Amino acid sequence: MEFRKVFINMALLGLAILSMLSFVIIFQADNNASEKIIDNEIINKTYYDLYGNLSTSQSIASQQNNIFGEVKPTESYGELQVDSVVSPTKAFKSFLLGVYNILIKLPSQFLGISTIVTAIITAILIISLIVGIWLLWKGVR
Amino acid sequence: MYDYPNGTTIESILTYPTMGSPYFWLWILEGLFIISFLSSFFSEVKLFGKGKILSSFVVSSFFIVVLGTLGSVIGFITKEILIILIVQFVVFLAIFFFSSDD
Repeated sequence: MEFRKVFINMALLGLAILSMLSFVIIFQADNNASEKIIDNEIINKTYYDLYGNLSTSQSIASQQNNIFGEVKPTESYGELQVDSVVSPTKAFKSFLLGVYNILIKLPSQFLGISTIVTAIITAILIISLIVGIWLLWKGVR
Repeated sequence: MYDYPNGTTIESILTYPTMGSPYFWLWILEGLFIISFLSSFFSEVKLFGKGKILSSFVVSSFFIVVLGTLGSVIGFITKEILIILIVQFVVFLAIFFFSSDD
């Protein structure tokens, strides 16, 4: 499976999980259910972590968009603009963290996986990322 | 007339079997899951000659999560059962998204 497709699938999976949890939680809250799943500690933490992360990503993206829109061009016409207006890493960091939370933290919360296992998976991911960048740099296929 | 220990409201009658077997409604919902999964899969096979087993799994899991949510509002599905159903849905959905579609 190519990287673009994996990335889209990750995003769709995260959205589907959030939608399903939102549906159940809101439906139960609106109808005064006696046993709400939000009372469960793991579900509560997972839902609010995910919700908080997505909200942060949204507000940062909106903030970056506003900053980008308000910047006045200072260079004269025809001159090359070298500096970036907004640091792309700032925005991408939160998006990547959001995807990490959806893919690694959420299943580990759901399935009750210990933090050591999660840390090992994260370490493997980081090492494969470094090796991947290295292979890309060297042009190995 | 049999005297129900919890009362004779719909909620108490539906909760009655769980006094002896706490996961009674989970088994019933899993039974409905198997029925809806087999129905959707084989009707797809009958209509198109080929069925996608993972799609049937996901759709049936979604169906029982909705039923479980309705049951939890009435009061006979506990949050533990609903969490099991949601985890089942999430697992099947993840397998569906990350399996190759050829």
